[in-house]
Amino acid sequence: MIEVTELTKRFGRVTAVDGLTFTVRPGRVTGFLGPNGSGKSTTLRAILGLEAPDRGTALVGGLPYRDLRHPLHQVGALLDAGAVHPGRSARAHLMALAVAGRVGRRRVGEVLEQVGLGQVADQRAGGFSLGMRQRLGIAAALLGDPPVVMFDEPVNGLDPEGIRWVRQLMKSLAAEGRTVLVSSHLMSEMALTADHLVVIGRGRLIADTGVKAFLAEHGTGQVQVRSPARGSLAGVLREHGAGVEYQGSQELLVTGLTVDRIGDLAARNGLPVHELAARQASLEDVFMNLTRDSVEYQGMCDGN
Amino acid sequence: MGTELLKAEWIKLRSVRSTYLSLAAAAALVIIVALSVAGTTADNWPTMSPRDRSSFDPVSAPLFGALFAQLVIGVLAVLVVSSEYSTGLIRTTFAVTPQRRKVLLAKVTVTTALALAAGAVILGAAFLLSQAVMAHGHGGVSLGDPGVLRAVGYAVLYLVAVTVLATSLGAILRSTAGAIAVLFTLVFLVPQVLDHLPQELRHHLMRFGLQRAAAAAVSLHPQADTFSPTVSILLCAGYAAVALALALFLIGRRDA
Ligand SMILES: Nc1ncnc2c1ncn2[C@@H]1O[C@H](COP(=O)(O)OP(=O)(O)OP(=O)(O)O)[C@@H](O)[C@H]1O
Ligand SMILES: [Mg+2]
Repeated sequence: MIEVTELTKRFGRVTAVDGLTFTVRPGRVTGFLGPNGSGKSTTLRAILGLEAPDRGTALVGGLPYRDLRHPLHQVGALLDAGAVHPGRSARAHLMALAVAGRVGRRRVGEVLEQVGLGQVADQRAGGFSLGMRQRLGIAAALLGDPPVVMFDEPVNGLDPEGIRWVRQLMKSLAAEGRTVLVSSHLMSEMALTADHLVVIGRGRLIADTGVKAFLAEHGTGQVQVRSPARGSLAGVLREHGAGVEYQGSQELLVTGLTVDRIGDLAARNGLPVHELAARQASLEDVFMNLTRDSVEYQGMCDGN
Repeated sequence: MGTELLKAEWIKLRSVRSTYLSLAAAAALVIIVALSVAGTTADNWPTMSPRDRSSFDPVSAPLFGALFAQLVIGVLAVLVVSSEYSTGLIRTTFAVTPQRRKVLLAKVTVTTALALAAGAVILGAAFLLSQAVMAHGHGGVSLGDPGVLRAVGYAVLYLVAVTVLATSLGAILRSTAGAIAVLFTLVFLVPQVLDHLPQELRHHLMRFGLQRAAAAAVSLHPQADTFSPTVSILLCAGYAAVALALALFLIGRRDA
């Protein structure tokens, strides 16, 4: 479990994290979402005791990170895939971490196999692709078999197969009862991976909720209808208070009526319907709407 | 300090090629200079004036190459810390071991131990080779002669002091270029500046220059405007100690 309370971190005049409070619970994947520069990485670094907050606390398993006895056994973290000496082999890199963190050397071979780097373990990390480095960073996070894992943008640079692999890994880590926190600025990615969302903008909490609840709350409840008689259908639906928009050559985008009601109205009026589907607003749209203010404000600041 | 940190730092040090390249470069520089100085001296010895003979320093003259070797080893020592900052690896290191001072002490210990061993082997070999060459034309000395063991030993200790200084500078400045620039400034530039001071000031201050102190520590003959060899080497150790103390002070207080 990770508990962040009233966390504030300033860099000079920039307030990177602003009174942030949230809890990451075990047994599910928590997506940590925010646009670029919203303070995700800063928060993760503060949790790891790498930077001192100006205010507030971050606890892992009830303790400040610095008070953990053998941190590598308690928390695994991928912060930056580039954080490897380019001249050092993947195996030597992990070996040094394992020895310093009092993890058995045998684990090095195991995690290398687990992330699929067994074949290249003795090659210099400088020659690795970004995807391979992400895997090496994930291997380092798994080294101590920790109950808490944090990954900062782990799918950056991965190919579709790699992305699927990370997704599966996150889910299986959560299924094993671990606490999993994954940051991303891609809502669509989190929609597929996360069970729970912590959304921030400009360092402030915007939402802390389940993915489904998030959608239900912010979804626009649009229904997509395809009909060869869409003109007549649109008239009927409008009479019943719906908002109707034309889309493509045959489609309507309807708001204010449920799927069932639209189907009934079409049948009663003898109008053919070829497709009728509830359309969730995409998470991406919701995310953009929620965080727009913070992004715009940031843009103005940068312009000054 | 737990031995696991020393082991981890040793794994890091021996798993990058630059460590071996640096040591090889340092060895080549020192030995080549030693052999060429010794060869020239042996050739010229019969025709040298008594005054030239007595002012010739049979230890520090052939070990002149250590002047460059200290920079090669110094850069290696800087990189031990600064490369972790430039890649971001330092965050992983500190996440694994939040006791940052212990991490820095482990780095300094391992790097210094390597410099001590390499320095003893390289400078010892250079000394023995050069004396063997000079023995033919005379002008050579042996380790048993007065002051000789001390001079060679202080040359090794000076290398150790530079290593501690350089590792600490890496931690203080957190940047490879910055730390190397400051190291070169301290070793070369400061003594140059002191050398150009007005006579009176120069007379008092020159002896505090790092390079000057190193020369005094390794010299067999007493030199003007210097401390004694032992005070000189302690001065070098003092520079290293101050830098290390500053690095230890800062490392826990800054964001990684
Ligand atoms: N070490 C630092 N010094 C100064 N400013 C910093 C530092 N680290 C972060 N910031 C600033 O703090 C804000 C938050 O940055 P942070 O990297 O935490 O955001 P992020 O959400 O991780 O963004 P991204 O999606 O781009 O990774 C930004 O405005 C950034 O410029
Ligand atoms: Mg980030």
